[in-house]
Amino acid sequence: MIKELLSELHNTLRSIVGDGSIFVLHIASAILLISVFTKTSKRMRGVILSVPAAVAVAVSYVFEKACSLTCKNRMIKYAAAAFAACLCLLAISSSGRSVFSKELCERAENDMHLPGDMETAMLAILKEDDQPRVLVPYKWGAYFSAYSSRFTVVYDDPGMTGSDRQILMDQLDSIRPDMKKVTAIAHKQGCTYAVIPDGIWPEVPIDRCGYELMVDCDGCNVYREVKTSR
Amino acid sequence: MTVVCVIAVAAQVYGIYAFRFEDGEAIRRVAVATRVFETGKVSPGDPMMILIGYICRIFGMHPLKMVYTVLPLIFVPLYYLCYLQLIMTVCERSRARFTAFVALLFINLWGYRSQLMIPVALLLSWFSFPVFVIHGLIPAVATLLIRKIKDRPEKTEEAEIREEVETEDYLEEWDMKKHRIINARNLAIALGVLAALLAITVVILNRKINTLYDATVNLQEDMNRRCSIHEFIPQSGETEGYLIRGENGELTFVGGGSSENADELATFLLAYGSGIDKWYVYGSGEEDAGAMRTLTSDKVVSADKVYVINREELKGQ
Repeated sequence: MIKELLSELHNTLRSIVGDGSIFVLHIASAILLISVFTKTSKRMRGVILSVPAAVAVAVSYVFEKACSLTCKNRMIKYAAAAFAACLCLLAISSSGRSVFSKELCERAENDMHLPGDMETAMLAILKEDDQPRVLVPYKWGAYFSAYSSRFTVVYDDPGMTGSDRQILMDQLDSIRPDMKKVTAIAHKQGCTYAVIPDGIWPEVPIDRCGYELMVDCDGCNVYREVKTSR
Repeated sequence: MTVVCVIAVAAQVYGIYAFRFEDGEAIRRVAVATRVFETGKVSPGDPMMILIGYICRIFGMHPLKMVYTVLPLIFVPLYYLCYLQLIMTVCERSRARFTAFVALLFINLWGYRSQLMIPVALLLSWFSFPVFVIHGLIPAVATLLIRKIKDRPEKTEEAEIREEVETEDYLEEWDMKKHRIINARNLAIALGVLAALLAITVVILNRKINTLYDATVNLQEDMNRRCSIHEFIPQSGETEGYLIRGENGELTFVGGGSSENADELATFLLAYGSGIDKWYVYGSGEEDAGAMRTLTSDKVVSADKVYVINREELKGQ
């Protein structure tokens, strides 16, 4: 049981702090500041409150120590400079991706940073319905909510069960979603509109599952629920 | 050196304007500002977003445009200025200040990897309240604290250390002499460890219980979904068909009846899906296949394959 608890704790920590790089930086810089500079300057302690500044100041102080004329021992000077360089390398390599790396970012196509022709899809839906309930891939839900408060994105519905939410997220994230499962949940949640991105190849297309094509946009298609005519 | 720093900050501001972060999680907060912008009503949420929503309402600009065009020009340099003040207070030499500032610039570019850290990443969530606190308020407060400490007359280092050590030694010696095992220090350590263990156990067990609950709450419904038979009984009261849902979600319908049942059958079928993989009708006439023909021709329901069953009763000898 202890093993399970420790394993669960480890997983929880990993999920919270990613690969732990931020804590590594903070701890390293805090230890450095406290152990090296505590006696000479109490004001350094206040800097530890601020993580990025703590790292930055730690780096600069080590460099300063290395270049300081008061430091007589050459070995300490060079070791300090090497340590500072290693700290920088550690920050960069263990933190992994740059904020502006290709895998995370792409060029913004408009000043609202909406992907593709999503704004056209949103306007088309809002033109038809004042309070539309929409089914979209999970990552797009944030854009719809941010564009207009009139949208009710299916994932934000408190009445939706966790398993349904997970099914929708998994299916719409895959290249070959099971549209029957997706539309079954969509019908249950009362989603009048579905915005499906291009680049997926469902075995059964959504227009055979109770939805009809409404607007064909660049990058996505908007489908409207087919209501029973009688 | 100043020019280099200014160019680096300007490049980061340009990066925010020109690039879109694929994840989209960072802009979930903007929904609060959009709600305020459209309705004028305040609801619980990020205080920064509420303020931005009201500002957008006054200027008539959509919050998304405000967040990506105007705010980076204001907030990002402001946060870096807060850090600069802190660095200038702490570091005395210009070379140290420059190194610290450059290190900060690099950390903001490469310092974040965890999904949970997106709300506090300066270059991803510059418009949010947590970023305002962590990158603006805290450095500013730290700067003020440090300046206040600097202004106090400092005791000589030796006198200070002597005073601290004497006080601590005296108290510790008294306590340790009186109680060898059960003393204040040991009790504090034991209680601290116990409290930490309890807190960890509670958190972990709570997560486990919640996971089990999520898995079981819809167990019955999930089981029904996998392989189930549902009977179609219209208002006439007689069973007119059966819907069989297979393990892989395949739908098979047997029966249907006449076109009089079409509406009720549509309501019944659409609850499970609008695409029937196999439809077996008892005959090809109106009485047996009328409902099927009506629903498929009106495109209310689609049928991949339709079979006619020869419903001939075999009589035993």
